[in-house]
Amino acid sequence: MNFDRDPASDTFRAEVQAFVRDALPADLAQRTLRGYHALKADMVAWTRILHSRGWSAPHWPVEHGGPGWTPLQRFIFEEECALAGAPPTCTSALSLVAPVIYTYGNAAQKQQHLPPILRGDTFWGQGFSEPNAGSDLASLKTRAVRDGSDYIVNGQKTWTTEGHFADWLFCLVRTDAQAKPQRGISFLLVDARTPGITIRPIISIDGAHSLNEVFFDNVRVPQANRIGDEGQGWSFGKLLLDNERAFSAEVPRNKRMLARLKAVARTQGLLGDPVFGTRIAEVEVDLAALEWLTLRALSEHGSAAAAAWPAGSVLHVLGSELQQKTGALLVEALGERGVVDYPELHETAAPPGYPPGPEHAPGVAADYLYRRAVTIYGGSNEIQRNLIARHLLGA
Amino acid sequence: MDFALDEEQSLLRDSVRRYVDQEARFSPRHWAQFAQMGWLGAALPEAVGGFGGSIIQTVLIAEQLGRGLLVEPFVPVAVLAAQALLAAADAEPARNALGALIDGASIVVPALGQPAGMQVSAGGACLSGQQTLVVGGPRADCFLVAAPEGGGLSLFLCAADAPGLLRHDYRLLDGTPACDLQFDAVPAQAVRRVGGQGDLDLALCHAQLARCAQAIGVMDRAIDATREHLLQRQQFGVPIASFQALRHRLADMLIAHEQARATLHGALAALVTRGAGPQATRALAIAKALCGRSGRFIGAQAIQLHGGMGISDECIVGHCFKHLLVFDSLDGNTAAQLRHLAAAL
Repeated sequence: MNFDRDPASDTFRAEVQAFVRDALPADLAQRTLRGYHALKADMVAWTRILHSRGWSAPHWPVEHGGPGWTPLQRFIFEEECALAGAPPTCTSALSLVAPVIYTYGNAAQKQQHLPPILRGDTFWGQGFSEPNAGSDLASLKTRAVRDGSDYIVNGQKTWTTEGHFADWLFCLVRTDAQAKPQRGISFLLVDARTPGITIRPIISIDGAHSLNEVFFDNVRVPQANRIGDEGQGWSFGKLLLDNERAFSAEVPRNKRMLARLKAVARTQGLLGDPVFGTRIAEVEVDLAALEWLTLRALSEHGSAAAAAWPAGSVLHVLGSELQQKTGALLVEALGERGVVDYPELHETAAPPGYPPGPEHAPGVAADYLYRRAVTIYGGSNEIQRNLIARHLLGA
Repeated sequence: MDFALDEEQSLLRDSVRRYVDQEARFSPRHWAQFAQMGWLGAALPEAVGGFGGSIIQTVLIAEQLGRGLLVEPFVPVAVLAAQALLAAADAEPARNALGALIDGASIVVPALGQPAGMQVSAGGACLSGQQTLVVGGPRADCFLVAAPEGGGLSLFLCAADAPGLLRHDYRLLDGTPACDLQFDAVPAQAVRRVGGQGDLDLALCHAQLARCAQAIGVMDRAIDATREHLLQRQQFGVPIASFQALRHRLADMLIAHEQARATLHGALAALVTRGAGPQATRALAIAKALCGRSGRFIGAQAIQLHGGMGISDECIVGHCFKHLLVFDSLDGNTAAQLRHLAAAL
């Protein structure tokens, strides 16, 4: 155990801060900080800005165009971006499918897909969940049947975030109905414009369209678009979760939400309120714990110590529940304006006829409503607690 | 930043762990053995007779003593009194007292809680006033007392059997010996004259961290006991560990424990990199708030998951609960820490 000062991290943080301060356009930051779903144009614009600095894929290996940062540097980078109000980049592409491609893909697949992802030229959507395969993902039924050098894919995927922006989909499909459920699954890259694919919006409780369902009706996918061998898809999905486990607490987002809570409470005259102030303090305490748990998971990444506790599940549970707790306080801080339905606002100023209320109100309730999802997606918190208990009890 | 223990740190942790696993919770031999094993001076510099460690050694020892539910006044004596004396150790009286503390010859118990309630008289040679809830006091052969003098704060040592010192002993709910003290012109030896409250801050930070570490050890014990119980206890023909409601509760206990440990890491880092100051104070308030909350939760759920046997005095988890209740209640409970943090918003 050693907590001596780490001047290299301070220097790195200052470098990132300076870059973000200069490079992040103010209108992008304003929109992002409101909390509505990001516009595709903003996501692309920011990815390109980052790419020009070589920072669009903080976690990729250098050989594929990553900056060669340590996990701690990546964390610092993401934190500074979030606090400044940088829009998200395409997570499905950069964090989910790309590591599978550069770890298990062949040379042609890497060549075809990695450079455009890095530049922000292609957007990706994830096709894992199905209407009847959520927590029990291994029961998925979307079939891929060989036909010459292709597969014919039939079935339905759902909850595809930003699927309507997607140029490509990465899907878990069943290639062997006889094998054990996990063994019969393969990992396919599918051009989203292939005939037979229909993408329909799912409007979420915040009134917004970020989620989609994707229907496959005799969709022809070249076998060359399969990553690895048939039956390996499940293990790739697991790798992808393990890669991200130290980041599953979403500390940067939680920090941004706490900063917003303090700002809103200040303008609403609630910062000095002893009851409300104590509840903000409780969020600060939870956030401090979350941050140090994350720093620990980052520091243990890839070492034997990482196996001593179920970091991914613990971080997921705490990080998601804290987002909901902070979001609820934000809504509460707005008083009755907290329940006004403020439509998605992407302009700098509210247009005529827009609902009245404090300037910081739009987006608070929408974000709170959408964040009911965070305790459900990526393995619901009940599933995470099952995993934690299994870690402790051995079975 | 490194969260894993190095070899030397692991050896220290394991040796304390082995000791508490074999030992009864109460024994008159404990203190001499602590001294023999070097734990009383583990975090003190070699120049004063210590073993050259730091706050890291302190928290490693404290956590394992907590795990063993030992009620020896390790934190008051070997952390708070020792660090306060260390700050004054350029003068001989403090250096001598520290030497005796390290080799176990003298149990110096701090009574630093209410300096404003003390008065110095007889030209600085005597103390009057009172101190309440002096943890470990009944074990003391010597008290370390702070009293206002000349616009500052002076530190004194008083023999526990000095004339005019009245001790009222009692126990806390977890068995910790404590006392109230009444000083009536008690002869006292000054170990530092007219310093500031700031001279005590680092020692108070060390003690707060050590108490949090101790509580984390108690939580660890409660979770271990609960885990064993769930695996062994059979109802409806199956181990109760198979019931999801209980599994999820156990998962929440693990989460609460890891949160507590994380705030300890945060406070350690603040103290090591910044020293005693506003950052460390804030990090310590966070740690005390969260360790208090997690401890109360884990202690209560450990009893609940043990069913009826959880409330029997024979069962360990009730004792864990009482330790954690005492920990939260002393030195500002969770609610008080949150109020401090809220006031600083």
